[in-house]
Amino acid sequence: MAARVQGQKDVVMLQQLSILELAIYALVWALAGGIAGFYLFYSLNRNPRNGARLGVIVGVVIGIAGALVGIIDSAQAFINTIFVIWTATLIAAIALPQAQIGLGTHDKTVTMRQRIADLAYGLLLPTFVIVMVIVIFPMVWNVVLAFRPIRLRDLPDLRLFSLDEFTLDNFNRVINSRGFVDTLVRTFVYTISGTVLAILLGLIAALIVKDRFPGRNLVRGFLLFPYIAPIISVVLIWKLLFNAQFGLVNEVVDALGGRRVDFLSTPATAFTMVILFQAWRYFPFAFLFILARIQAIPDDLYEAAKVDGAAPSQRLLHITLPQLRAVFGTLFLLRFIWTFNKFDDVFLLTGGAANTQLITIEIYDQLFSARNVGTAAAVALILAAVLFVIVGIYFRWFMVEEH
Amino acid sequence: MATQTQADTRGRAALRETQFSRENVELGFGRILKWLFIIFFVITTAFPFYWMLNLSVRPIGDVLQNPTRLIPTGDQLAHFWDAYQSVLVDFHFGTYIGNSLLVSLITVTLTLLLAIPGAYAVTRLDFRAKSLMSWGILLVYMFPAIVIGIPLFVIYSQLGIRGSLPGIIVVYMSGTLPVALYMLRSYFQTLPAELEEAALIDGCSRLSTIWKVILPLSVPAVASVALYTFMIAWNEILFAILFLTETPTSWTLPLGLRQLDTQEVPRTFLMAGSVIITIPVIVLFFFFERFLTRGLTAGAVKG
Repeated sequence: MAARVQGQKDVVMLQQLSILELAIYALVWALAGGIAGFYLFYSLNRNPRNGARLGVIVGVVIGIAGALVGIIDSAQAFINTIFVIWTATLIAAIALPQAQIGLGTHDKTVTMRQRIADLAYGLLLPTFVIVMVIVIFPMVWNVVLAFRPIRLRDLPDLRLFSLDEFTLDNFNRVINSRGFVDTLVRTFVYTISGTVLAILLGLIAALIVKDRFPGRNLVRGFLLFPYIAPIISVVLIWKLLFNAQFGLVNEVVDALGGRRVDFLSTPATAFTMVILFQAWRYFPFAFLFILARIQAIPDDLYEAAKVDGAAPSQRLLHITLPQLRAVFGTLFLLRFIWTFNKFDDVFLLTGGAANTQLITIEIYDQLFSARNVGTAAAVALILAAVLFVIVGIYFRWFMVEEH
Repeated sequence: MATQTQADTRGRAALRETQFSRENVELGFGRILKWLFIIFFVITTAFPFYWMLNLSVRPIGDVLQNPTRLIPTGDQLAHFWDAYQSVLVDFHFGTYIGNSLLVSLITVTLTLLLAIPGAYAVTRLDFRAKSLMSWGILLVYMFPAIVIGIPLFVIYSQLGIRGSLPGIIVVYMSGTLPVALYMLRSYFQTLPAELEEAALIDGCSRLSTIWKVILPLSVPAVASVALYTFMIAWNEILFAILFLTETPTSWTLPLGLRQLDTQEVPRTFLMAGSVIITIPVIVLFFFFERFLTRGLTAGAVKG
């Protein structure tokens, strides 16, 4: 009788877990157990790969059984259990060899080559785990979130990995919302013009600083200021410089007989301002790259051109710029990706008001203004997909160009 | 043919010596253009920071009355500390500085602790997943932070660690580790392998070889990584906004400063706050410019 009740309970619990949930539990437990087994066996001079295998099996069994029975079913319990297991392993890995337990000579089945590889895995595992947990897993899981109707208020007791209620509603809502296409187009315009301007400014700065002049080191230092200063403080000073009432720029405009403008909140100027800000803040990055490349151009090239009678402008056009081609290519790609993804700058400057809404700010607005996790994840997925396609095209084009 | 070329060269050389040759005209023009640009760049890059200092010592009333006062009066300079004191005491900047220092220093320590052995493994040890690892490093640091922000927000909410500092430190580490690995790896590759081989033959274990041989040789690279990591953690605001906004006790300096940006707070205080957050970065920069520039280009800071 008791056994039957128990059995029923298990069946009930089983039905509550979807295949995806079980798979993710198994995966995480396999990872947690495998890592524990690896280090434990390593410290005991046993074959760490056997330890990892054993750990995976034990982990999966404990994890899935725990989830099915309902002991380890919340994310919190989940993390706590893993934490306990890892701490116990760590103590065992340190204490057991000290107590001379299980410590023999090296496992004879392990080759020198494998021992070196195992050491490498051991040294890299912590980094690998952090990157998996904080970057790769969220990236993948964002896809699942984008197809689920989740509101911010559902969060506390949401079943994280449920596969129920899969729907395209989030995408419908986002794509059909007013201004979404505008936002996407605006993001492109912002990214391309900001990137090109930043590279152009960086090129000019590098051309200036490449030769000696009095105060060169100081100027070189100043040139990096916009880039190294905390974003929040440069945003605040821009806001004050362009303030309509007492901003210095408006004083100049006033003195020149112009009309005062609230640059950062007037739709006519705000978008230009955020592009200029982007160029101003990130040109030092381009500057450093270009300067390093310019200084690596051999002097002979210039000497030869000079002998042939090439004027300075021709030397710039026919020697320096062609030598910088590859750097421009790399810079454009890097800056394009990072500007396209960039959230803080424009969010802090205008909050997306006055025709400066970008796709990254849209993600934030969906999460905190619309309080909708699903649509936020959907916009994020669209962003990642667009970026992926563009980078793909760029590489294809670049490769063809190179051949 | 040869004589013709020679004559040609001599002719051009003669032309170049005349005052209004293309060479000289362009050089003169270039010189003027160069100084104009130097002035332009100094004004656009250094002046905003001077203005930040300027506005932080002048009371808001004076700023409104004399918006263009370039140099504060002696009286204002004598009382320059007022705004800073208000910010530090009344607006809890002490707490934020503490939080920011804690987060940055722990991020730096943990990143170095993991990245140094990791980079050693990628450079010196032979294993099958090696090239995969190198590609992975590159890939990871292209990922959009805002995209991983949403799922992390959900998970952190469920775990109840959203407002906690350890939670955000792990996120910062995921951003700094790939770059740190990349930078250290390119440095380790320049070190001769014979040195550590000698240590290994003498019976040192791999770990003590890293500690006793590699580390002392890598001080410049480690300094670059430490500075880079510190600045990333010190300046970061996206994840701070996402995760910490609801728990004022864990606000970092950038977040605290942003929360101060409201209509009620006088701009003088805002600028004092900006100076407080900017000064450490600029000071570190001037002391360690060489290391930092290396870090900025080698790793290519994610910006």
